[in-house]
Amino acid sequence: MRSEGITNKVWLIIGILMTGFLFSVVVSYIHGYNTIKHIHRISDELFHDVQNSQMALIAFEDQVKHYQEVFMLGEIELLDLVPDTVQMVKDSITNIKSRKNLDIQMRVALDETMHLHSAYSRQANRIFSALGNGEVLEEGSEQYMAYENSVLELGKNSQELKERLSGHAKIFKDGFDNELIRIAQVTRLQGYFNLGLFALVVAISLLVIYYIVNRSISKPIQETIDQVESVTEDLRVERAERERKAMAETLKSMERVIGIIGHELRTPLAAVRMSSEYLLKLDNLDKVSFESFMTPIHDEVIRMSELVNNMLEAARLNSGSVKWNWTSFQIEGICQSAIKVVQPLVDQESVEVNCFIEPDITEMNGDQEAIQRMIINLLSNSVKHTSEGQIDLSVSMSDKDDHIEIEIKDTGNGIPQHVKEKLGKAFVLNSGVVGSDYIKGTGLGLSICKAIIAAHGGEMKVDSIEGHGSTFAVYLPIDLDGPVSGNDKLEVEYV
Amino acid sequence: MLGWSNLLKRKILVIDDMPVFREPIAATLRMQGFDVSCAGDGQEGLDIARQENPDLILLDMSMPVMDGLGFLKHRQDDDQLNQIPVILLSAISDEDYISQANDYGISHHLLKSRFSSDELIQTIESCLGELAEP
Repeated sequence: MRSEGITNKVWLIIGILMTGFLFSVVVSYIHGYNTIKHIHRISDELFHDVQNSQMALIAFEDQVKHYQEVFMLGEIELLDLVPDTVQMVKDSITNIKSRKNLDIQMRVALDETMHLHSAYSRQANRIFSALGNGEVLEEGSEQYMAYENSVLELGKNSQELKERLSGHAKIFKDGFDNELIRIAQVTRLQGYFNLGLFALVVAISLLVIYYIVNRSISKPIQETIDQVESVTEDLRVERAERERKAMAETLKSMERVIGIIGHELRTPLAAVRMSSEYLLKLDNLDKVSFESFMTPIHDEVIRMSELVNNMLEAARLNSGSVKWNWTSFQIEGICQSAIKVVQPLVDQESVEVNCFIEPDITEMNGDQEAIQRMIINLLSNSVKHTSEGQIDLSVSMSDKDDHIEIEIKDTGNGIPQHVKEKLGKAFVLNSGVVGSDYIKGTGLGLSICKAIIAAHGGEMKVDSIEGHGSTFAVYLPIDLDGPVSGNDKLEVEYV
Repeated sequence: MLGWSNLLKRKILVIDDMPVFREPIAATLRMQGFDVSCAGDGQEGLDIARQENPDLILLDMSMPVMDGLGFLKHRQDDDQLNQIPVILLSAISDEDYISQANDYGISHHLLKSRFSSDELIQTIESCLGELAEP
């Protein structure tokens, strides 16, 4: 959508430039047209005036020349040429006068000239006709003197007329030249004007283009940048908020863990303190009293040591830098040892502990001590939750190639649904240390088992119905060369 | 004489699910001349309290079946029991929980592992002394 918008804007910009250019061209054309029209008018009118005024002057000069020739050569026939020149002078001046736009002063001056010229021509014809007809006058006579004066007057008049005609010609010529200069100036000014106009059009076009580019390209880009920055800021805030929440969650979880540890240690410590203080106060310490109060002290101390050991072990296994003692070992050996460890905790009268190992299964690779601890932890769990019936530890070949299945099955209480979801998560089990969520145990034992199974590339499945016992099944490869890393997120599978 | 002295003995009910804590306390209090009964959870505590009408109750908070708060709630609704002072013994210091317990009107709160048997007896005596005064 945006690219279409930009294409449209580009076309708009080109359109504006073309319109500006066309406008400049039209204005230039109008100016040129007016100039040409003006030149035409000048050539039609002024040039015509110049031409006629010069022709009038030339014709008059011819006329005067004819008179001189008549006078000098005494050829009366030459006077026949004079009317043509007179007519020519007259026509030329009439031609000038016929122009509409002629200056009124000039018109008066021309009328005057024409009048003078007519008077001059009439007098000259009369005198030179008389002279040409051979009227020989006696020198010094009155008649002679009159002619002589007339000729002198004619000479003066001709001179005056010549000056007038030449003055007219000069005025028209100067007017024509001035007009040409003016045209040149106007044309130059128009050139400047056109250039200026074009520059203005280009500048306005550039401004409009800048506005369009700014509005339709830069602005959206800036807006996009602003949006991106805003989104980035939002993301940053969101991430900070997430980190803060995670931190708060971690803190809360740490507080909970510390609370649980406190609870787990405080109660036995309080018990130990109470029992020991009671024993110290007794004056006569009989063996029965001593045993009945000393035994719980001993048991609690053992329980606390186990708790501390388990916590350290879980912390070590979850630290990611565990050193495994990888060897090949006898499976039956560790099973028997594990049973020996838990046997004292079992109520022998009501609970039976059995061990079945398929004869084909002998050895496996792994950390012997860790696998034994895992089996002990699972057996201990069963012992804790089984008050009657049996606990069976069995090892068999799994359906999966080169895997064994270690199964611990009991006829105990089973696992309630809400506990199942928290299995194997340290300190989560008894997060509700009080109230209806009350559950004994820290969850450390299974957490340790999970870490051991993960390092041995195995899996764990739990099948339990509340009130009908539980089955923990662990599947382990038997010939693993070394510990598996990065498998610490092992999830317990519930059947 | 023994019967009369037993009648004069002040009765204390200890409600705690952990024998390892409950028993030494009971033994210590008996040694001090109190008549002591024990209960393993809130429900059992309610039953014994109704039956024996003790002078004072020592109550644990975290217990199965019915916890300390559950016990206090039932006690509040019971005209007989709500006259008996309660000293709360807790292994946790959850302020929220303690404040809820306070709302039910407990006399004292002692944090397990923080008090000695002497302090416990002192607290009990002062509690019963307050009760004896009109």
